[in-house]
Amino acid sequence: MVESSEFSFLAVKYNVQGVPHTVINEEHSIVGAHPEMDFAHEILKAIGK
Amino acid sequence: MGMLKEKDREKLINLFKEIKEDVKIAMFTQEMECLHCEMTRMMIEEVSGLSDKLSLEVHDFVAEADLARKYGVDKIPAIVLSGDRDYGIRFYGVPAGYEFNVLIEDIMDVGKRDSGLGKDVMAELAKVDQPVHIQVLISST
Repeated sequence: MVESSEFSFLAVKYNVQGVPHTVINEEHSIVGAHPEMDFAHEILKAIGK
Repeated sequence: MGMLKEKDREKLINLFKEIKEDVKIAMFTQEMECLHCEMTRMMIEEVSGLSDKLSLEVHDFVAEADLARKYGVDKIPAIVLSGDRDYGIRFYGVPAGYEFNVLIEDIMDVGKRDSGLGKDVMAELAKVDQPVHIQVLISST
């Protein structure tokens, strides 16, 4: 978990507009809260599965 | 000086009674503490004192750079939660507001050795066969 106002360079780097903003492997972004299964699927998608 | 209100301390003491296993907390700060590092350290020292299942080690990000590197800690303040092993749980920044609740929830999950995830989600995650870096950016304001 990263507090974005303390580490605003990350908020800029990942173009964070709203929180929570989840970044997987520095590339895949998911904005907002989602069911756990959705996050599991995004993780698998991010690693090409 | 307490960071926590008395009734919050009592609530946490009661909640932490449900912790079954040891939770190791490591915090990275530095000797010339920035305000947030000092606040985080004071808070986590107070929280970890509320249960004998919680242990805290405070490390210096600069003087113990090798250890920070080993944990993959690249910014401070940083809190690392471990149990039987390192689960990759890292908190960066002051755990204030909502983030404080999440920290407590994570301490409970580690202390119960139970992520609370459903079997179906665990089955999906079992397909993960490489390291995955997940950053959740939040705002405590």
